Amino acid sequence: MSEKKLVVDQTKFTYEGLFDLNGFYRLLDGFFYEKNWDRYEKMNHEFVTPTGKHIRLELWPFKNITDYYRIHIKIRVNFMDVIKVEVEKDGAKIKMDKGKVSIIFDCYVESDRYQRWEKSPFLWFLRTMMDRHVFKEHYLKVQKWLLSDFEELHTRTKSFFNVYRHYERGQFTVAPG
Amino acid sequence: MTKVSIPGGTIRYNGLFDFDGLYQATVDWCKTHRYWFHEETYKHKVPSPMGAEQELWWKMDAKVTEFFKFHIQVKLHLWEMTEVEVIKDGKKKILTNARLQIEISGKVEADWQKKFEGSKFRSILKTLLTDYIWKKEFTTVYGDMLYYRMWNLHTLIKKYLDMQTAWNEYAGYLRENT
Repeated sequence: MSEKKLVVDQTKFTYEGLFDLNGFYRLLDGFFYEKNWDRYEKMNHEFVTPTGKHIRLELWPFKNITDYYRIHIKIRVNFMDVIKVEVEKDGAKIKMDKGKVSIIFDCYVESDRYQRWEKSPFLWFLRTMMDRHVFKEHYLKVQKWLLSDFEELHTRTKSFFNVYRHYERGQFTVAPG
Repeated sequence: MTKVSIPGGTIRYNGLFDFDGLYQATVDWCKTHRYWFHEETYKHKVPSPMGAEQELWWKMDAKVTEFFKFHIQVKLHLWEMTEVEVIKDGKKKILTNARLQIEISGKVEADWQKKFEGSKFRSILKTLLTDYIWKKEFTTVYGDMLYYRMWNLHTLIKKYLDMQTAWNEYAGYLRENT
């Protein structure tokens, strides 16, 4: 097993109200495409309940930085009690989703991604020493890269949902019926 | 190295869907991308009052070159499966209500014709090809091709189940239509 170091531990985001579920999924997928990450959707769970749809996503996008380092962002998204609502904006009817959202982000830096340095205890020891003392600068550079991408993703997520929070305060009205 | 495993995703869905349509859509996808479709396993358990249980394993494979071959495996497991008659656009249609789990995985196989088997010398030649000469093709070029093709199939299944997250930003990555 290659070594994974936890860089961001369970950064949470919760929201309740109006939003565009498909739009948010597109935002995530689009962000990683734009930043040249590879997609990995480990789990996509959708089930219908009397109170609305429950959707659970587990995304593990990754990026191979070098032959040695790989960065991951683990995103766990829970949409609860999602129902479709029709809202009116400037006389036009738009279909949107209403429910609760909970998102948890974790970030990891994976080193020795080909597991070349763990074939013997000596190699393992050498890897640890090299990582800690000789190539520390490289690790810090990768970590900085990961944090920079994560911060941008987090900001985009917050602004995406805040837009709808703002809408709910006045611009949108839930259409009767 | 004779095989490179490609990780896939899991889809879980609970609700009403068109099972025959899903079957047809997957077979059509195989035809479009020139994959052979095999139904490797079909298990049907005696239905309980809650419904039937079915397990299906679909295998798809395509010869990419004389040396490399793609394999995709789709494992479907359905629980509490019942058939429901609905009227859509004035027409009667039979849909399936069930709990469904779909697991997609893949692999790129090298030397599918087994030309490099039979002697130690041939085996060394094969290792030379897969681990050094064609390593990039094996792991990156064909590995990536299968990886993103699998995501296209993943999205197709999600679309067919009418899931809210049926979107793939990477759909155009391979410059293919689907």
